[in-house]
Amino acid sequence: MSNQSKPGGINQWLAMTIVRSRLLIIGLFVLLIAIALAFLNQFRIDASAETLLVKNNALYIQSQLANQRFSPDEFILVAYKPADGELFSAQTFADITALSANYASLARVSSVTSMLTVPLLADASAFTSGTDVGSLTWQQQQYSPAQMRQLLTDHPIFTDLLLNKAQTAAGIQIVFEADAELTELDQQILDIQQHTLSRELNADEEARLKQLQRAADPIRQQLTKQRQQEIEQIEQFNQQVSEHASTYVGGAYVVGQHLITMIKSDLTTFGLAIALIIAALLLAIYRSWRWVFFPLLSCSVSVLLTCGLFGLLDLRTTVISANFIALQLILTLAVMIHLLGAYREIARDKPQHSQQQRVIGMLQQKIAPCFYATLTTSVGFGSLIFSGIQPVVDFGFMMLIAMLITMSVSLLLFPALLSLLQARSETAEFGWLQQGLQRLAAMVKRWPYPISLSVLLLFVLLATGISRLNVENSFINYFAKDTQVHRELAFIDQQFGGSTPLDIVITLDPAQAKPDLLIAATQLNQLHLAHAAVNAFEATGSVTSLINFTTLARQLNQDRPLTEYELDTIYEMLSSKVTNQLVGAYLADAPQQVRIASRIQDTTEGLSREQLMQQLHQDLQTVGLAQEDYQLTNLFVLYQDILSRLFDSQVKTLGLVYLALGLVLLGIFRSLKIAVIALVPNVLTTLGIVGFIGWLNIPLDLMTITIAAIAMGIAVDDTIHFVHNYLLQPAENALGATFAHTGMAIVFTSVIIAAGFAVFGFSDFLPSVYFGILTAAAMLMALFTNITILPALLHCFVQAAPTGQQVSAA
Amino acid sequence: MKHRYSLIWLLAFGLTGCASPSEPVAADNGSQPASATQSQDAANAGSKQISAAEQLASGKTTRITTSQGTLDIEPTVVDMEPRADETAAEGGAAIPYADPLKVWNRAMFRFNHVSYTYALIPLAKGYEKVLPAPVRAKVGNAFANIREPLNLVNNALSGNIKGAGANLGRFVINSTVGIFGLFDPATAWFDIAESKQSIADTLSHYNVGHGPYLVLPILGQSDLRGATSVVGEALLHPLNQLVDAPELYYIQGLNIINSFSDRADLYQTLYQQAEDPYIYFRNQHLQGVKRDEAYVKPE
Repeated sequence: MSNQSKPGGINQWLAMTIVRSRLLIIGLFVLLIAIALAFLNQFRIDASAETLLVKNNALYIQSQLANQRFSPDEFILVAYKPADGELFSAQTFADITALSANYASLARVSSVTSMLTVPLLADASAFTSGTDVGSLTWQQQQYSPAQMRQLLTDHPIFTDLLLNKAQTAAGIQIVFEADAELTELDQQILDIQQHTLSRELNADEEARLKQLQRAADPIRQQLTKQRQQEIEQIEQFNQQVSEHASTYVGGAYVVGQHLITMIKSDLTTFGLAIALIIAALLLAIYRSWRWVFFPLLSCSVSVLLTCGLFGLLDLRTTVISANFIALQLILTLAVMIHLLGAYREIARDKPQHSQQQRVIGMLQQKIAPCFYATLTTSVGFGSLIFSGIQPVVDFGFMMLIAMLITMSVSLLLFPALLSLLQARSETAEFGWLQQGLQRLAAMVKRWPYPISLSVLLLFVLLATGISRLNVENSFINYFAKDTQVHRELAFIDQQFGGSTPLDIVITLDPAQAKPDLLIAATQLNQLHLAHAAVNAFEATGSVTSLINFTTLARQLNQDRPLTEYELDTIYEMLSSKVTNQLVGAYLADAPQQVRIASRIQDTTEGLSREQLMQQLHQDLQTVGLAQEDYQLTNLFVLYQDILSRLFDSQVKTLGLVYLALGLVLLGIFRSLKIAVIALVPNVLTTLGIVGFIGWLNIPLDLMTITIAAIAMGIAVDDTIHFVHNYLLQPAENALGATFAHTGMAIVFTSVIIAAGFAVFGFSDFLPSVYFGILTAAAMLMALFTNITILPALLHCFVQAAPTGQQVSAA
Repeated sequence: MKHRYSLIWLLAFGLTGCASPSEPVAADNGSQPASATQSQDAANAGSKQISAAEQLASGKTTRITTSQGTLDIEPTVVDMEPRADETAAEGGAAIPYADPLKVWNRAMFRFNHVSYTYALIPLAKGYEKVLPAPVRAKVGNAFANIREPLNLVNNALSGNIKGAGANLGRFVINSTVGIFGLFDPATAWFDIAESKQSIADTLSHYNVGHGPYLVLPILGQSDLRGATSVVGEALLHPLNQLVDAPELYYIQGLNIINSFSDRADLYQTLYQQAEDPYIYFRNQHLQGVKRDEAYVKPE
């Protein structure tokens, strides 16, 4: 570079050292790659819905405790919808019988329940007459289709579970046996964890907890694998009835399994697609194979090292962090492009230089801005660590590690490799692009204020979309509407009583208890009121509690209520196995608690989850429960808790990112004025992208919340390169020279990054789609601000080089 | 013969004491909804506001208003206890059941328990062993059939002509086509439902209260009205006209064992799990009676 008047000592020394010890560096990386390969098989994806939860808070532990107390069964629901619309027919019964027998053959299945296996009573006498209630099933009585219809119409227990209200589909509930060892371990884990509700854990407990987690972990992974196989087998079994019926598979953890499958396939598909696109773009830009091969090699080494390190540290990829591979590929590439830009310029300007001289020149020029650029990107991701939302925190942490690896690969390994190559003459950059950029530079120079103002106005308008941000989201909506998965989950959601579980655990007033009785009438009626209040919501699908049983009892008792003693009598007369099965999940002793289990229908039109929670609290108190008498638990509450924090978290991470980057920029440029100017395009970009999310009506969720911080982290790279270069240029044509020199690299990186992320638009997994498209949009916005308002402001307020005030940090 | 009638008179005398509506719960409510206004009236009336849950427990349909609108809730489980503010209107607080005949009742309950444990249950079990369930059901049918004339008289006396007609039809059909009532073609083929009506039901129809709780020997928990009914029916039962003692007693014994055999297990299970079995069986009986009064059997 001709104007390298003061070849900053430290930069030169670093550049020389890197080139001199190139063989050592390459050897070191070969060793590291070997180690990474060894740990690669320990790299794991853990995409269960569980990983989306914040685990160390009180809500989660309470939910786990409630789960342990009532131990509801793990089950998959298969809906069977006959094509001819006739649910009560010999064909249906035969199909369900055959399917059930198949399901029962799976190893972990403890029972298969359908309308054919449950006792159906015509009146209450069955309870007290000594008849074996268990024998009153279709299987044993062979009821006719007409009788079945009569017995099951508006059944208080089985509607929404074993058949839908419209009587167009039957549900088959496949109940799985819990792994005894895992249950035991989980219980011990919870025994320790529940202390955190009241105090900190001591060192002994922490150690014990770790040990237990380690013991439980392989079992959990085995379970995940087994579940995956089970779902595949179930789908295979369902094929046999595909001629006369459609089948739908759903249930709480089926969603989780679909997420894992989808993320795994996305990882490979999009990792590959992005690599291909990057290769194609590199080829188009540089028209030379070596500039395709070496950047891609560096990218793959970065990703490989990162995966190996994650395997070594046992950091698991979740739904949120699964994108790190694509992100790292793209970010590594961005650094490459800046390095290559400088290298090619040197090669063209000074063709007589040897290869090593070129590499040293490139490093001298770029080692500082590239270092700072990766540093600021790391800061962007690092800010996620303070989001307060565990999965996002993990993601931030993982990206921080990935960025450090990217930094060392691109600044050590890449130049070391480069210096081994033969020096060749380089192709010229695109003339039309150069011209366009020069024209832009001239425009900015002529009308700096109007341009600044109009860009400002544009982004302020865009940012007003922030007020439209919402946080409504659900697991079902994670899948694109036209996918098989979405269709199946939505069918179960609408026809079989909802998806996301929400439980209400009520502690009964001991003063109302009566000796000898299972539950006193007043207590039960308190539950009834709460049950009715929950059931009244449009969004609550199936609602089950003891009330379903007593409602059935009233129906069977010629529409007369039971007395509390009669209820107790029935309870005593049923065998303990039956009662455990029927009411065990709804009633617990000491303290006497009852549970209302409901599932929220995620596909309900216009559902506001926050409002639902508020109104539910309010209604439960209206029907006579004090706040300390009940607890809302389970997945819906946990998920809602996270969603409710998203907005705050977004504000917090953004504020933090501005502050941290402001400080870093101040450190780099040693001037408050320049730091503030450098912040402007980035602040505009982030506000613009968040507003854009609002305008597009895309719900804020765990994935979209990370976009602003990521976009800022990446976009600020361009700003740094631009400002850094501007400060080095002679004052008379500072803008023109900067546009010529750095403008190209900025355009290339932005376009490549945007194209890379846009590939995610083809995913079936909506969070990835949003993430990809929005990050791409953010990159283009950043490009736009970096070549309009940034140069305009620099032109107006900052003097470039000739005053002799060159930035020594550069 | 003479002392039989004096017993009836004695019981009838006791019953006059029951004729006034001493039990407030038995009052009006039935299955009519106690609307929100009613509950609000109760609240405005002062004293202690009864909660919606308590209102339900008393057997009243209750209206609540939540964010999702107004819901009418029908009770599914009740204790039929009078609530504080209802009795407050009459100037008294809710008191636990007084049980005036407690000394007799407890003694009789113990006697019954011993008789059940050492005589009736072993007998019933043996009976179950000898006769398979379908046969026992037939025996039950025959006994049900032979009391149809009694149902007829009671239905007629309480003005239930339709019920009386059903009794007549059933008796004629089941006694002939159904071979002495062993089978029930009246229900199966002619779709004539049972319409059982005892003297107690008839008395209840004429607003005779059930009187104090009374444990009868062998027959177990009942009350004064029920006891009258039992004794009265024992005398008026059509079997009396067909068979003489001692065969009559054998047959009545068979009736008791036949109807008991179904419930032997139930009795034992409940007796064992209860803290105070006497109280358990008493309350179960009393609540059932009150519930049945409040919810008149659908015709």
